[in-house]
Amino acid sequence: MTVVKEGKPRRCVVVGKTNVGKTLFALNFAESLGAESVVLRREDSGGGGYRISYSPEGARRELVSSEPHRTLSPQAIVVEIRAGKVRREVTVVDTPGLGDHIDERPEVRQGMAAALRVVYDADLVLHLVDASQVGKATAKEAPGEVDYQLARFSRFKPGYVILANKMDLSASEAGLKTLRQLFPGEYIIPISALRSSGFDEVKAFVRRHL
Amino acid sequence: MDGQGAAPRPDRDLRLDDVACLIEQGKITAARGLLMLEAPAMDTGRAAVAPADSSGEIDQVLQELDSLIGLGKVKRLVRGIKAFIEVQRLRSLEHLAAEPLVLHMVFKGNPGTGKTTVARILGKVFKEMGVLQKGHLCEVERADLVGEYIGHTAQKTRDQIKRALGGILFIDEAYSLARGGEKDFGKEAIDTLVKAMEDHKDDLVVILAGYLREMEYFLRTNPGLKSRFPIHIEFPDFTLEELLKIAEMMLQKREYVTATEAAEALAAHLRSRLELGEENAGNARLVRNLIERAVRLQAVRLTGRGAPDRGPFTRKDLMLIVRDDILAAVAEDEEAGE
Repeated sequence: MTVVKEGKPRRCVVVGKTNVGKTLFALNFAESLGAESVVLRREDSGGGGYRISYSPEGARRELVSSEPHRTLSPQAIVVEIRAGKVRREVTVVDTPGLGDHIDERPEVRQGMAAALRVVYDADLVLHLVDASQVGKATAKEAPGEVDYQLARFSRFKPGYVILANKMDLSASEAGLKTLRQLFPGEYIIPISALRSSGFDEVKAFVRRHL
Repeated sequence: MDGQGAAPRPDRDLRLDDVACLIEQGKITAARGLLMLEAPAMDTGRAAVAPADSSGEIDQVLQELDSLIGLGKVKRLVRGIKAFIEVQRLRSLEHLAAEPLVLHMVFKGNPGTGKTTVARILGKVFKEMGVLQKGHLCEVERADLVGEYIGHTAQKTRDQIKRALGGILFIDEAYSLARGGEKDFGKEAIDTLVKAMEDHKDDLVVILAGYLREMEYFLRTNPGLKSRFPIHIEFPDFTLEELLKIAEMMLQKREYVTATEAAEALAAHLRSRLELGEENAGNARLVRNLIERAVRLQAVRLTGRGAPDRGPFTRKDLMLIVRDDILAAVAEDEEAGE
């Protein structure tokens, strides 16, 4: 049986292919949990780290982009979440996007390797998939090989959920249906990171696994 | 356990570092890296899969194999494959050169000779031995792989491969991929398949199945394929004795018995078919169909209109298959065959 030690911080990772909306989700999710400012802790490859503090708007402006591979290193946001009467600290780590192919830019590859390390150590894996791109034969194709491998790898984590993102787009409804068929047995929550919709279910999920 | 599950294990960092390094150097994709990593042991509250503790399971699977009638050569081959995997594993632990585990196979034989059944069992063997993640069997044929317009085929084939990842892709009547000549999309399916076999070396076993002669011709005309499928298994037709044993076992499982004359009638029918040299005479599926018909016709005899001895039935009545049931089943079967 699992006896989680009081106060043991849980690491929750936001992971997925590039451009599925990981950073926007992490920021908006943190905000919906009541974070008034976003304190990012970046870990560089040497093991050191630094902190930057943003307002939620500032963070979105600075960190979110529709260009792929905007996030090049994992960035952690510490948020508080209420579980019953207790407030617990949860570290939500936003990670660089994973691609299905080997990227020619070394900084992108380094980012992917760093993301993998975070996934390895995480307790909770929030796996974002772009529901509007399901079945499209492009580099953004969802799910890609890396999505299947993420699911395989994360299945035995204490908590694993697939977040079908971009449900505000019209193509996503059909995409969600296909995702449910492709990942039978996995827990899938439809969300829109942009509109902050579907977050209640995600919060409930995180809370259950605290 | 007290929540220390995530604590680093001594071998853990090394493995993770190696994989991370390969990704940074651009040697492997992120997906491949994930595949190389075992998830660290953590308290999940769920039952974790323990591959090391599966010796009991594998015995059970092998028992299932042994319970099949006939197929002596096939059984020996499956055991041989199992031994090979074990030894390669042990060798790699001793840092001896280990042969890569290439387990793609060709199954040659007539329909109803046990190809699918054996493939399904092999999937379980591979799963228990940790060669494949899931060990499920994904059965496809030409129509599942080949599309109707340019580009369609590759997509369809890739979809099926995705479904089969972690298990076995079983392509029935695989030789039909080569029909239709140069312009046919079957060739595209083969090319996509070959590429997938490279990409998913560690997570996919492909079995090509079909008639002996057609498969040999298919492999001869696609020499590139032949070298990728090192294991060939021939499934001979069942003999009369084997077919009768299969029938007996099927009835036993269903808790029926045959009257002596009924067994004789069945034997006579099967013998005449074999002597006539019918193409599918040595076919277990045929026997199964006959038995299923006989079981149904027994019920008709017992309860049908004009049944002379309508109830009450004894336990024995309900179990007994008589000669007339077999003859009626044969007649019905021949009718259906035409």
